[in-house]
Amino acid sequence: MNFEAKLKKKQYENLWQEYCGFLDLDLENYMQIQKRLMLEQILIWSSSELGKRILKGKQPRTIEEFRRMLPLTTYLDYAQLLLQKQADLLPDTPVLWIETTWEGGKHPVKVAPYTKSMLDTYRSNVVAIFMLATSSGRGNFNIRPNDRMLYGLAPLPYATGLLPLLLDAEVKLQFLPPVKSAEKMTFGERNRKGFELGSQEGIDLFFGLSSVANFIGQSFSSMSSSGAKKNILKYTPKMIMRYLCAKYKSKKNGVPIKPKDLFKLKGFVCAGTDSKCYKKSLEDLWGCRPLEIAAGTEPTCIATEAWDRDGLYFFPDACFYEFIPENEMLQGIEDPSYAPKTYLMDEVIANQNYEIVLTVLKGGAFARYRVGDVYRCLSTDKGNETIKLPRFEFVDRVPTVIDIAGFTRITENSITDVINLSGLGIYDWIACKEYNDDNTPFLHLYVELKQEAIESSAVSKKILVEHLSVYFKYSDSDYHDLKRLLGIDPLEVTILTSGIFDLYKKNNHNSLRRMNPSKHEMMEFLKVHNKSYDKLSVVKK
Amino acid sequence: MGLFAQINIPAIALFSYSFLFLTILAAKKSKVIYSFLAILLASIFWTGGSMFMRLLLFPGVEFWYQISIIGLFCLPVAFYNFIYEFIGEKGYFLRTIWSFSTVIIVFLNLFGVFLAAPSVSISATGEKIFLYNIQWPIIIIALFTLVVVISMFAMITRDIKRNETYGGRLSPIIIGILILFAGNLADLIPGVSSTSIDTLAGILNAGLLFYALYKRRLFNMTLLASRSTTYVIAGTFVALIFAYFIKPFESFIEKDFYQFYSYKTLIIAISFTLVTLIVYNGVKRLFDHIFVKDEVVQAQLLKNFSFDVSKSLNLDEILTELVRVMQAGVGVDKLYVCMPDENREFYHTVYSSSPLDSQEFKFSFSNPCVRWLNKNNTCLLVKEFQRTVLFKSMWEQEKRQLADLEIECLVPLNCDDELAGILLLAKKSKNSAFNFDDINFLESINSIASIAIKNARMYEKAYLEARTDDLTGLLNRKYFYQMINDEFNKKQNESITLLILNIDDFKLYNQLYGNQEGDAALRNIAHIIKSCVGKSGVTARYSGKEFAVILPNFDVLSTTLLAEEIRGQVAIMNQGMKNEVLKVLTFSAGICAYPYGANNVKQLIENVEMTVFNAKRSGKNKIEVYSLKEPSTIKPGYTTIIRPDVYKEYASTIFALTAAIDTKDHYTFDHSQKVAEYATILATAIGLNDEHIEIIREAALLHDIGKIGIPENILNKKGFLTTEESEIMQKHVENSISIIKHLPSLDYVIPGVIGHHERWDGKGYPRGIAGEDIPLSARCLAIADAFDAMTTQRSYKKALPIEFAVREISKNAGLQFDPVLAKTFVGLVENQKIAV
Repeated sequence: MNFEAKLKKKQYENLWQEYCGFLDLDLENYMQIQKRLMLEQILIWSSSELGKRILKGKQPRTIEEFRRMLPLTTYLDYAQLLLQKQADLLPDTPVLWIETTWEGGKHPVKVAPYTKSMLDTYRSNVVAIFMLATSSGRGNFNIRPNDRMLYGLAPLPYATGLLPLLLDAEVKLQFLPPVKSAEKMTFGERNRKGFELGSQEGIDLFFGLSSVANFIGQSFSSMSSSGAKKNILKYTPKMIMRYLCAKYKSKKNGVPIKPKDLFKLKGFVCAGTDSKCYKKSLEDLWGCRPLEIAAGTEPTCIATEAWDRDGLYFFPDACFYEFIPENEMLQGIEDPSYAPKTYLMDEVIANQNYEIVLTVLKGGAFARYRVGDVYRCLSTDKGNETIKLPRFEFVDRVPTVIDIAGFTRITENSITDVINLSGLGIYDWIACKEYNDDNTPFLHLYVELKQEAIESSAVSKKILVEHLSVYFKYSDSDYHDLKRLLGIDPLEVTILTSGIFDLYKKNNHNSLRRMNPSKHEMMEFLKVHNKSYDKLSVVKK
Repeated sequence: MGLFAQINIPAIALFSYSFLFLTILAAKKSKVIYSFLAILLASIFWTGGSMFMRLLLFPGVEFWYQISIIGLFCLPVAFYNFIYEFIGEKGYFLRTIWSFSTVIIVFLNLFGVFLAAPSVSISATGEKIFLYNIQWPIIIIALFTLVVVISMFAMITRDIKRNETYGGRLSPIIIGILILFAGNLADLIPGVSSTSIDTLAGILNAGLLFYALYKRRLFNMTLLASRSTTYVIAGTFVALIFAYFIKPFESFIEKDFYQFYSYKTLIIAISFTLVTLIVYNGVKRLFDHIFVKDEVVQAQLLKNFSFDVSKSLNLDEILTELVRVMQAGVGVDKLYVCMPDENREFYHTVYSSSPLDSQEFKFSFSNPCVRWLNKNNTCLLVKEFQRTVLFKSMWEQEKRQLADLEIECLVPLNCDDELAGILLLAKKSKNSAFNFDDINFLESINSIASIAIKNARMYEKAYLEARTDDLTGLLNRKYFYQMINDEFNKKQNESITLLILNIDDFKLYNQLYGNQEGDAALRNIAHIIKSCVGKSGVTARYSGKEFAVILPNFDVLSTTLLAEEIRGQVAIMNQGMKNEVLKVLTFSAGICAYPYGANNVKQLIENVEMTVFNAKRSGKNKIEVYSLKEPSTIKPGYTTIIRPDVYKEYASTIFALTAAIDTKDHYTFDHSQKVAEYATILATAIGLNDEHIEIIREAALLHDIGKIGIPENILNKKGFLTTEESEIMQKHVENSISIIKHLPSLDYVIPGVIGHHERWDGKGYPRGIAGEDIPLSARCLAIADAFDAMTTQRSYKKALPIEFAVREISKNAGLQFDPVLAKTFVGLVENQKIAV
């Protein structure tokens, strides 16, 4: 019996228990589920060819042994087997392979196998997410068959494309646009078509990247008035009424129409890096506070906010979670041979940042895998009266990766490639992710030019920005989409005066990390710079 | 028709409403049930009041009219409330308005505001006519009813819209209301009104509401078979029969049995009683057959099961009965019984409904189902369990197992707060779901079975413990005697063979590797014997290192072959088992068969024991068969390790080892030679046999071999050793053992070597054992060693006089040395049989 059948039997309390009951767990019972499923995973993973190769003959039997014997892994450890899709070497038979771009990898994409059990868990957790998204309190949710969902995410073989398929098996929703036709459209077309259909019949649920939802909301006025040829017959009377009211209100108050004037969303789910930057704006635009979730290609869907939309809670059955404290993570970045310590969910401390390490349960391929995300523990079980589990917020990607609006992942390698391709005479550089006054993220590149380049070629700051942008777009299609789909120009360049990197090195006896050095280090660096020279030129495109 | 329509139809309606009311009154109350009772009550008021009014019953038309009109006016709001509760509507506003308005209407109508009581007149044909004075205020009632009905339908429409495909559950209600409407409208049609069609519609409507409630499983159909409803039905039925037949019956008596006419009252009374009894029993049987048949069957099964298991302490019997009863009572295809294993790690399948079923299934103790059963101690329906958070921690393999076996229900067998077992029930034969009655039945069975199973297991465990040997799991000696007598009695006309296996040099094995290793060896040998014998015979641990095998229908030859097979496996038992090389174990075996070699059990055992003794005495590692003639060895040539020629064989090894120490420390070489000489003389003097003397000699030659590992500066140090140096020096004993241990063929010297620094009073080293726990060979070596040490010159001291040494030995007899040996040794020196 799927969700819809149970819904029709009005077993609301049972449904809540089944899908969202994990939020009622105390930490002890939560860990019991985690550890039991982890033992199952250890058993099947260690006996698979993949596990044997990575474990190099060791045979862990307990979680402690597993953590001791298996060093932390990255995609590189799996690439050889997974990219060839050698299913027989995996812990369990994959039903499908999900793709994503491999930031800074040797291959343009990375793939992750999904087993049937993983998909079952994914499906159940996705239903939980939508129940929570439509709830304002425990046990109180409002999903009904035929609810219309505006779905602004990529189709298969990307992980986000799984969602409509999984949800369809549980409850029949009307996806805007319908899944089959959406598969043939580009990302932009899908959003436009979905919005058009939503305007005609209304939207009950919205799931999208925070940055995309924000962009749609902000350009709503122009989008709703574009396309002069509108067939009024396609619009429901309710929507026509709402549209007229919104138009009147907009004219009267001299403000643009916002989505909330037209749509009464029952639930709004957002995902992607930088969601926290957009949440307030999204609530203002859509009239509904979005429910943030955490998901990825390798780990599946791992965390969701609850009805209070105040921090993420990790699903107990998707992955086994370990956490690297921030200082350990930074030590690992400084010294790649260092093996950072990890802590379990019942060992995390409030107000600390952690890099997450995942073992995908249910026959997944990845074990003790560094997915590259950093979370902050907001509170442990003592902090929240109603939910007794540790509460987190997504901070960002690890410092070595710069993710802008959930679209693009820029690494040291990718910047080096772009600089090399551009042929610009850049001596050295530092890349930081920073936020402007509107809380919009951007990539700030601090560059020192080669002396001969300054003397022999035109390297004005504008030229630098334009040149680099061209090559960023060339080498990274996701970067290109930022401008195309969201109108974001994410690059800012600051030209540093010559000799600053050498001077800093001389003064501090070591170089600065190129990607996202800590704020204190950056401050020190700029102090050195300011002391030596009176003026620092900052140019924005 | 007129009478039927005006009296009988309302009477049937009143009966139907009352019947439903009484039935539902016994159900578990909920808001929906209460609202349905309210409809029935209003209908009873309406129909009953109307009927009694038409019959002009006491206290009068006015009273019954008011009763009837209260029922009628309350009906719309009663229906509204029912629908409200049935679909779980929220919001109280309309509901309060309708209820309050109804109260006002009813109150006002007590004064005839809307419709006053009718006046009664008698027509020319004698028919009663009820005349109503209809005024315009009645329109208010009609409008009010219409508004309530509209709001009711709006409520239904909203619910259907919310749950599009689930409108089905409301169908009976909608149809019922439509019928009621149609009935009331039909009443307005001239000619039809006299047929009480509205009342008929009311009956149908009540039936449909009843059906809707039943579909939602808000009560159990068995309620229909309650005693009160049976009385009502039987009473009404009999009353109706007699209402119609009392007069014809009276005239029948008068006409055909005139002579009994004066007894007509008595005859009618008796007939009435008899018919009542027959009808009551008939109705009861019918109801029981329709509604409570299953319950009766289950109750009977429960009773029989309780009786059967109380008589038995045999677990198999109880489980067989349990499975049978469960299959019959619940109607499941397959059923499995799981019990915990000894280590309490898994619940293994120990019994299933069919011998063809796989019994591979097992639950780990950490399985969430087990945790749930432990916590809740009630039946677990897999479908419901799948919807709990606990289900999230199920392993995929565990889920698959349940799915493969199509398990739908798990029943705990709990006893003293402990989960003594789990019953797994596959789907029901008719593919129907487990219902409330099934669960009740299963739980009743569970409580009976739990205690029975626990008692049976305890009994079985105690029975097993009483007859088995803890270490090997074989039968113990006591039970062996019982078994051999039983088997002998059974097989008196056939043959029975007894085989006893006695492990050779097992004490030595224990000394070499420790008791733990010795126990492991015994377990392994027991396992080998048990595997080889299988179900052909009975295996027992006869004594510490002896095993006995009773083999019914075996002859000597087949028993010998079996013994050979066991010997072959024991010989390779220790290969590759451990990192260190373990001594090969052998055994001496004796065989005797009835009737060839013995006449009774006592003789059989005695003869086998004697044969084993002979095998031991004649060189061990032999299988001998008892014969009335001279003892014969089946396979000559199997000899003990300790045979004279072996010493020659190993002499070169011993020489090599002693030569090695000679190169490092010549003194130790000489010392070993002398100790060997003295110890041999002492051993001869105390009457040991040649084999033992030879062992002591070789042990003496090798007793200090471990000094190879001691640094030369300590070995040859002039002056006393420091504490650390002494500790290093003392390690030479363990060093010696480490060297000799790798030569399994020489291991028989180890007891002597390892104990030569032990003291009689237990203050020696390395093990600190005392008295006769020190092997005899070691005690001999200790004296010889001390004597030579005192009487020869060493790097740190000069040679002491022989007299001094003798005195020292005498002085330390009973302290350092065995007093008897010390005395003998002193005597040997004094008699110059030992010369320095």
